[in-house]
Amino acid sequence: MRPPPSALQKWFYPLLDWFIPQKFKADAETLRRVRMFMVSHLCGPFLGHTISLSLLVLDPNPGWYWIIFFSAITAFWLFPFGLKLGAPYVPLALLSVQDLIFTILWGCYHYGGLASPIQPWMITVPLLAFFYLGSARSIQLCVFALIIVDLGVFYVLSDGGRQFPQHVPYELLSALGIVSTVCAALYVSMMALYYSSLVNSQAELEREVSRRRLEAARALREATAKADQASRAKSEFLAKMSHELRTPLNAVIGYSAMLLEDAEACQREQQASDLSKIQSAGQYLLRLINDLLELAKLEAGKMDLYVETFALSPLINDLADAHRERIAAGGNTLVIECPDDIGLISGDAAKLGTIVLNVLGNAAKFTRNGRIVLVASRSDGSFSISVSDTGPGIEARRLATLFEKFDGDEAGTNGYDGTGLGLALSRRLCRLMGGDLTVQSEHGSGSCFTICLPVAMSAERLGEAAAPGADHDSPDAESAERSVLVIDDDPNVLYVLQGSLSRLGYTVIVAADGFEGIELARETRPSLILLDTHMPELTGWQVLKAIRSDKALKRCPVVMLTVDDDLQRGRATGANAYMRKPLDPEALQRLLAQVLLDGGADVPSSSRQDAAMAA
Amino acid sequence: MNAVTKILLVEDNEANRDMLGRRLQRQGFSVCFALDGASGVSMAASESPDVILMDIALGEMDGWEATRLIKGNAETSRIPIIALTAHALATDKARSVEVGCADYDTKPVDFPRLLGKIRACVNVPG
Repeated sequence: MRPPPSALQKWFYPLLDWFIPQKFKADAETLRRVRMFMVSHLCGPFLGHTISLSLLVLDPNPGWYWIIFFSAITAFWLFPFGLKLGAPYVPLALLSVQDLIFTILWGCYHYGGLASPIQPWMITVPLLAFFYLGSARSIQLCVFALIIVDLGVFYVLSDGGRQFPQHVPYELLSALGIVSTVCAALYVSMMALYYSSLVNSQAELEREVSRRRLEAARALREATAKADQASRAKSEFLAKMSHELRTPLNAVIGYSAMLLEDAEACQREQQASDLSKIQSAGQYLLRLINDLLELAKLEAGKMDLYVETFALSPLINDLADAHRERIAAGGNTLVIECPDDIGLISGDAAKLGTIVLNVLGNAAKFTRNGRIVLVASRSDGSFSISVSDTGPGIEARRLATLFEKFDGDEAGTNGYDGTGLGLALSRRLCRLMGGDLTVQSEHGSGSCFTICLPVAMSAERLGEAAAPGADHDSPDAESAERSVLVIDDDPNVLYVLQGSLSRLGYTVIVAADGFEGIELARETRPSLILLDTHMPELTGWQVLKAIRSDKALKRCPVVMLTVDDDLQRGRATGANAYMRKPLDPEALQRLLAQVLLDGGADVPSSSRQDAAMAA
Repeated sequence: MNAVTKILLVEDNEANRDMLGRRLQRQGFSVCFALDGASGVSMAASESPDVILMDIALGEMDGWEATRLIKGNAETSRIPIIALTAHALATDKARSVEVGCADYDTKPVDFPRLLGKIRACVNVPG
């Protein structure tokens, strides 16, 4: 809230500014000085003339000395016009200071000498000089030089301060003393008040600016929050709609498949061909909805990653098989170069599958009578899968936008082949998993897409996307402190425990049989072992015996996983606890926490109860 | 020894139930239907099917809960259940294994793939 403008602000300030040339208005500091100069020169002479007119009362028939005094004061009114006409400011201000000193000393000389009532005005000289010209050292020196020279002249003329003319008797002048002092005080007060109002208004201006800046920042924040919210709402809407769209699509695809089977059985070819068009349109629509849903999830930050440990080589072969027929249909040969010993990967197998299928599908779509080569390789912390083809390649100008949503040429140019979202989705998935999808291509000689991902996705790499995952790459003391070795021949159990234990923050190592289990136990020295009792070849009991007879592993807690009640046997062989399958994740969590807390010591009955409750 | 494999289809959407049921019948399966989670649980006991196809997005009692109840009942706990979820989500996959499903698939179903999963369940009872 601002007060309404006063008369000063309405009339006086515009008058001041009328005199001030534009060149002084650019800089706030200069403008302030020039305004001080203007106020002083417009108002000061009125106070000065109070004295000159008072003198006229005391001395009704003044001589030439009074006329000079009066003129010197009036001269101040000329300075604003000098400014308006473009006179240089600093010399003008110095000239004004000189005029002031002259007026004061002239007045003192002719009216009272050393005890003159005009003397108090001397204190206004340095003050005004500061107001007009600032506190620069050189300006100060100029002003003091002026004062000293003028005082010197005064001294010489007055014969060392002894000889002063007496135009008005001393007794009368003492009455003038009060008027002069009051005028000087008024003058100084006026300048000081104006100065402070200028400083204040400047501070207010700065406050206003910073207030506006804060407001703008808040508005920006609000706008950003709104945009985020809108984007989230859009994604949620899309996810919901996708679900609603799938249900009727389910019927379209299902019933047309049934009719197609009938038509094929009765050899109604025209009908079968029509129905297969409905089928492929439905399938395309489904793929589109699926891709949209995935993208919406990615953009809403809701994409879940399910980290599991899997062998890369069989996965790649399965994925290649899925496209083999299609690749062959285009007259292409598919070559897979994947070393069998490429090993295990800890990551989201389903997402990796989506990415590889997309890239392979693209290669199959654009290549005719050529070669498609898939090469998988592994280096320190990462692995890469590259798919190169001998297709038409991609023009340089299109490479930049290739991974954007609905990139022109990918979408539906070739019937219902691609959704135009595949590459955008694949790259985003790669990045979500801590890697990237890149392309190299030369127009006319084929393309090569390369998927590069870490071999072990850790919680840090996933960001907020998923639960803490296993990081087999760093068997250092800290992470090994909470590592769990799971030995079970049932891949489902390994899969479930891998997921649920990773989510609980444990590093999970899995072994598919007893031999591997013992070897991994010796190698990784886990903080706890979950051991299945029923395994072919080496049973859990035999493994437990081997572990207990190993010096380094003797005190490692072991929890037996069983389908039947083997408590007595378990304890006799040295198991710390047992759990019945199917496992209850919550009970497992409690039991693990308890067993790890107890270290290798015997397990108190409460956790055995937990274990029993898990049944 | 059952000559015909009996499938219990728990599905609340009429079109899906009709379509999937008829396609399964054509393949020579005997199919019985439950329209919601609660009747799915009771029919699992009364019909003792060889396989249960469980839609997850059911009304009041969802498929997860129904599966838990079926797995919690000693009479029915050994019947393999294939969860059918609308979303191909990793969390759904994990959850279906956690609640004791033998397998899971996404809707709309890829019929040949679903057939493969059903046969795998019947030949190797979970």
